[in-house]
Amino acid sequence: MIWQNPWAWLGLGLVAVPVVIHLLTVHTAKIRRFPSLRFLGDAQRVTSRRTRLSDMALLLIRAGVIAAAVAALAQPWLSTPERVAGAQRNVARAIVVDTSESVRPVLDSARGLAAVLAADAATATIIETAAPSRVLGGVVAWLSEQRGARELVVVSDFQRGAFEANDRSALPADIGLRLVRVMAPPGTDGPVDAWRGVRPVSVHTKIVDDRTSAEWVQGASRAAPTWDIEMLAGERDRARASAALTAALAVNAVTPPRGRPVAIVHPGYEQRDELLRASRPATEPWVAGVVQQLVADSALVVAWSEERLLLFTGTQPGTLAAASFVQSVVHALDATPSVEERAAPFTPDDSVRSWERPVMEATTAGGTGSDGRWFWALALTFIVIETVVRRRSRARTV
Amino acid sequence: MSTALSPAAVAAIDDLELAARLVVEGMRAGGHRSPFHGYSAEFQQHRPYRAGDDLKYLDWKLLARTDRLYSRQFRETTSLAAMIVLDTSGSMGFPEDEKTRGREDETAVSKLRYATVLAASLAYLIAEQGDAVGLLTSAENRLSYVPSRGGKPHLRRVLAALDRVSSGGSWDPARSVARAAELLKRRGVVVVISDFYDAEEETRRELRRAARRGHDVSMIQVVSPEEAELSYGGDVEFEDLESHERRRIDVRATADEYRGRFRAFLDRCEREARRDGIDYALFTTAEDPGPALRRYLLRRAEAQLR
Repeated sequence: MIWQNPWAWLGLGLVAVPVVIHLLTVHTAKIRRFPSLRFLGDAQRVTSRRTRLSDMALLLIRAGVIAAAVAALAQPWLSTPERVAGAQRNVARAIVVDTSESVRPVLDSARGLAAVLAADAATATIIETAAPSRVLGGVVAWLSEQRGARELVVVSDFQRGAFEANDRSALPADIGLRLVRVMAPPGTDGPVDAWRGVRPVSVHTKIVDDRTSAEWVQGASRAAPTWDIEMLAGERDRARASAALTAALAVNAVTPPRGRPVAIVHPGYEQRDELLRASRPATEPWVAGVVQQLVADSALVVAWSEERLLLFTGTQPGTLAAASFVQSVVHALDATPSVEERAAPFTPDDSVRSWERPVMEATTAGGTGSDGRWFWALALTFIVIETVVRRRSRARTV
Repeated sequence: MSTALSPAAVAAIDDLELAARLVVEGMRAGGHRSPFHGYSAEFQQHRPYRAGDDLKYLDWKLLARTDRLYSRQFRETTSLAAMIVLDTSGSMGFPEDEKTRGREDETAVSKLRYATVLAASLAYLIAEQGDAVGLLTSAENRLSYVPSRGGKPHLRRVLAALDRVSSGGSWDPARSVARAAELLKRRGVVVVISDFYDAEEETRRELRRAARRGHDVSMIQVVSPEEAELSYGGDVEFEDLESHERRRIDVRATADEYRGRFRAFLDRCEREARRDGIDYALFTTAEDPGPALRRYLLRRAEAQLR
């Protein structure tokens, strides 16, 4: 059973009305003036009846009248497999294919899907657009001109804004809606660690040998560093490399965002060649921006391995050039939007599923298909029964 | 003339005399005389004249024919005197006039109205045959009566008094019956119309006493079907029409018991009346007063013949 106007169920609260009336009327006992009480016997303790429902049948029938009327107003449609299949065969279908940037990698499959759906319908039209929600007005106009059952199909990845709940509610109730998701891999939906701020670090500088060498000593840091930058250098240069990172971070006074692990591989690193061999080209969405920022460094080799970005640099650890490079990396990481921010937020599957509604048989051209008449008939029957029961009850009480 | 007069139709007739006439004429259409026999001057026999006899009783025509002196003898020299005692207590006002209580779909006849029509019909019937009729009612514990006399103008007085009665307060039946018996100076007919709810024992004692004094005592008990059946549903708070005492009753649970007690009361009234030689009749307000009264009078006439 489909309820085309589910808000009408709020009216079910009206069922409380006969209950309240019932309780209030029971509250006062009828007073009858009578010739003599001598044959009536003793008075009975009947005060507890005040809160007890009497004439339950009448109450239930009255509640039934309201419930049936509310159900009819909610415009029910009984979706039996036969009815759905019948509606599907004679459907006029408008298919909107989302051609926005995010769908482009899978556009061919989206088009193929649209063609299949179009072939399956009695009448069909395919609209390709980068903004599906903008063409809905025209689509509805086209569908309104069609006879029989009508359906709108949206083929999209359902990025936020492509098709929203208000677009759905703007559609006439008799138009079926099917939402088909096509996705370009991959998309992640992790929590965004958006914390940015000054890390409390005090730094002491000390010239060690010549002007190009420097040692940065991290002082009384109040919090342990939590960055995702790893300095891979030879045994001899490891301390210098670490110092260069510390210095760069201190100077930048920022923390590179989490979720973008980077390893800077210096020339003297023992496993440099193995790492290079095991790695693959970096295709992660956020890498492009970072690399674009670092392109000035000609010695840079960019690769991806073990879920981190490897930057093979020619700068010797412990030199000012190395520190400058690290600084550039930090800048680049910070300037480029994070993975979570770049990843287009999509409308969750649950919502998309809940927006769908089946095609309904059109009773008349342009008319709404609703089984509400049966509920109206039920309400009418209840009213007749109520009248009969009420009269009998009155005849009994008078 | 049609005799079919529903209680509601009779109650709707404001002119009590007309209502009484309708009831009585309808009854006469069946060819029945009133069974209220009085002691009217009726010739019985001749006897030889004795010195000292009133000469007005001497049969002059017989003297002329036979030349003998005979005196005429009469069985009685008085006419019937009847006193109608009407109960106007609060309980007789039941069922209350539904029109005044906003329910125009039902026109229930109150026991008092029904009893008034019965009383008027009886008065009319008695007056029409040349007998004397009187009325005794009580209002606010004060007895008021119209003495028993004959004649049309007097009948009008009785009917006017009947027209004025209204139900309310309580009734002292024993006192009323005793007073009515006293008011009839010679042997007569005492007709008591009531529901006989009040002072059952005392009433019976006074009725018995009146019967022993030589009066022809009639007990006409009027009840309404509503009180006989107690056809209400659910919880009802009953208010006594006389004492205004209230009692809350679950009718469904007690209706059968009530009907049993009520039936037993009616049976007791009839049984005791018959035992004491008192004429008894039960009228329900749902009956047409004409046929009901006719049936009653027929039965009474048959009883007198026996």
